[in-house]
Amino acid sequence: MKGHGSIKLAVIMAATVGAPIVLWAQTSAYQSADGNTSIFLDNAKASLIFNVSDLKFDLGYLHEGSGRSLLYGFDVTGKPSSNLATQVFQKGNSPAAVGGSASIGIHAPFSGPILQQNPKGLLRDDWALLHFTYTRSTFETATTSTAEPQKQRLDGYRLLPAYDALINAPGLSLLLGAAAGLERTDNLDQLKAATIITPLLQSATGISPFEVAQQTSGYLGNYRKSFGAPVYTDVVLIPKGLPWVDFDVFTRSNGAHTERYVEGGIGVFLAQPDMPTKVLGGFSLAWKNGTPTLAFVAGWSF
Amino acid sequence: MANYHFSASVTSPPTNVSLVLNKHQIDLNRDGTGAWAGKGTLDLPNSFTLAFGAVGIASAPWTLEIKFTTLPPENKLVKDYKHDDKIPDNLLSIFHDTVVLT
Repeated sequence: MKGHGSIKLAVIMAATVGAPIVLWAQTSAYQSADGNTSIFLDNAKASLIFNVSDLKFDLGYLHEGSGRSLLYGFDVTGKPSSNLATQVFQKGNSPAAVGGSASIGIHAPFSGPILQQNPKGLLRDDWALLHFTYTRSTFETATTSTAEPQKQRLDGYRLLPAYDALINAPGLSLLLGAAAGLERTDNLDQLKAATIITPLLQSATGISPFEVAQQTSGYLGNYRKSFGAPVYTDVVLIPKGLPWVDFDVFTRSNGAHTERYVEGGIGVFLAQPDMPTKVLGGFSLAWKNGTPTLAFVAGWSF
Repeated sequence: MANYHFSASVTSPPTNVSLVLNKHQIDLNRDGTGAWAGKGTLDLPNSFTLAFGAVGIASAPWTLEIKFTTLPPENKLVKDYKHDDKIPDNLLSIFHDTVVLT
């Protein structure tokens, strides 16, 4: 398993850069170490995100209207082959990839018109989305010392219906999220990230010895593709008396027969005092199939 | 009654908003900065009612600003209406006012 039984340390940094008519569509800061979430918020001014444990960019657009209205948007994502995560952690947890996503949904499917809501009502706002993601990645794997490294290619996709709700609870603002869908994925997170060195030239005898080799990032182990059934849930608790501290109780799991896992954890985030969902930083602690996972989150926006 | 152009925005945005001017529901959309924004032309009396509702995380601030102008080509500013508040503990801001244009 990922982390091989020891506490795995990850750092996630979210940087947002303003750009007119360009928004980072949907995904919120309430993410676990693997970047998954069931909370989808449009993030004002955000057009780029950098994730230091899994460096990638994300550029998108989201249309959202007031009242009960249609939501739709798209994202384009990319990930360089040699990234800061590799340099900081001496290994990369996922290969170079490009992809995109599209989503469509409805705002306020169940919450009533705002001006007609009861001051003591529970459901204040909600939104339902169908989120489709596609990524293509290529990389090499090595299995044994007797077989040549193989070039692999994954056309990964995920269809993820999600529902989020803003609840008025005693003493708390509650953000609830649930998402369950279908994905085509692989077992890379269970393989060992490695550098594959292929000798190209060996010095002749009689001169100062040297060797020329080609070096590529790859993985060691038996590579498998599979279908997954991701199920994500989040309960974000924001105390009304202390709105700059957010607590995210979350689960991440794969209900499919192969590569099945269950992860549960809690995150503590600090937000801007006057913008409770604009996360400045925090950490989350989770257990994935019994293996503890610790993630530090730092973010900023301007 | 006279036709006026209006341009409305809600900054430091709540998760959803509702704006009614003289019983006309105004459509607002997220703009490039994340604020809610909308504009249009309405036939308005000199004095009319405004209703505004916002939902979001408790204590999140919001600022409603509406500029009323005469129609082109004059585009003369008639009223710059502004109101700000915070989302209260029940996550629901509802605000009623009377707007006087001149």
